[in-house]
Amino acid sequence: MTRVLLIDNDDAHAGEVSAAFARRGLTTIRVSNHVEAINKGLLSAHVCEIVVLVMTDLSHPWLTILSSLQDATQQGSFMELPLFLCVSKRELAADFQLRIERMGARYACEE
Amino acid sequence: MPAKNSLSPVLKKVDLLVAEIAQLRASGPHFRVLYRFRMPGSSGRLPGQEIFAVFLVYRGREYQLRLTLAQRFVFEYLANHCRLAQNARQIELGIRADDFYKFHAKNANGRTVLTRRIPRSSIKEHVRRLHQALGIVFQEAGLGIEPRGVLIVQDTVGNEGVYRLRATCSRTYTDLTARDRQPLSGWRARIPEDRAAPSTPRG
Repeated sequence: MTRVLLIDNDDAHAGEVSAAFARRGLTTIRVSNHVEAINKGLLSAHVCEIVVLVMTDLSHPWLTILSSLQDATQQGSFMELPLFLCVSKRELAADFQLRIERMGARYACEE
Repeated sequence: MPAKNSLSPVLKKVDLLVAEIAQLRASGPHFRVLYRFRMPGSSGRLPGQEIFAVFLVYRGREYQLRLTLAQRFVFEYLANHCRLAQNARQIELGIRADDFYKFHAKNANGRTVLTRRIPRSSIKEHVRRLHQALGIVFQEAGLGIEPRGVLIVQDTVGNEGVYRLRATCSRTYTDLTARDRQPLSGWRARIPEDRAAPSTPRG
C-alpha cells in the first residue's frame, strides 16, 4: 500500500484530502508543517513514498521549503527517495510551476 | 461515476506518481543510447558505429551522463545484457570479443581511433565512476533513486562480485554524413567496400 505524507496546516482540508486518498487505497500520514515532518524523520521512503505539500498561503517561501524537504530526504543513504507533489488551491504562475518541476517535483492545482 | 470535485486534478497527479513509483520499482529508470556514424541504409547496432552519448530519460527530458569512452563501453555493454549479472572477467571478455567495440567509430574515417581496452582489473573502478555519473544525473533530474540500485553490484557465493544494470534502454542512430556514403536511396548507390567496417562478427 502506498503511503503519503501530507503536509497541510488546514485541518479541514487535510481531512478531506486524507479521505480522498483513503478511497484510493492510500495511507496518509499528516503533519501541519515541513519542520514537523523533518523533525519527526518522516521524509524517507521507508515512511512514505509520496510527499504532498499543500501550499496554502502564497506568502510562504515554498520553493525554499520544498528544497529543505528534499534535502532532508537525502540525509540517509536510502535506496529510494519519496516523490514530491506540490498542491495549491489557486493556479500559480507558469514560471513558478516550472521552478517546482525543475526541482523534480510535480504540481497540481485544485480546481 | 463519482462526481468531479476540486481534488480531481490532485488525485490524478497522485495516481501518476503511484504509477511512476511502480514502474521505477519494476524496471528501473529509462536510458537512451545515441549511436552515430551508422552507414546509410543499414539498420541496428553494427561495428563501425560510435556510442555517441547516453541519456537518462525522465519526465520527457533528457539528461546526458558525462561518461568517458571506456565508461560508455561498460555502460552500453551492461545495457545490452541487463537481464544477466556478469562478473568483471565476463564483461572484459564480452567487450573484447565483440567487433562493435573493436571497430568502434571506424566508419567515421576508416581508422580505429576511438576504442579502448577494458581490462578486468579496471571494471570495478569504471563501475564506481558510473555510480558517480548516475548520481549526478539523478540529482539533476530530481530523481530520488540510489545509483547502486540501478547499477547493481551483487555478491556471489564466492568472493567475486557481479554487475547488472537494472534499467530499460532504447537506442537511437544517426547516419554518417560523409559525402561519398549518402544518400543511399537509389539502386545505384552502394557503400565503398574498402572503407566500410565489417558488419558481421568474425568467427
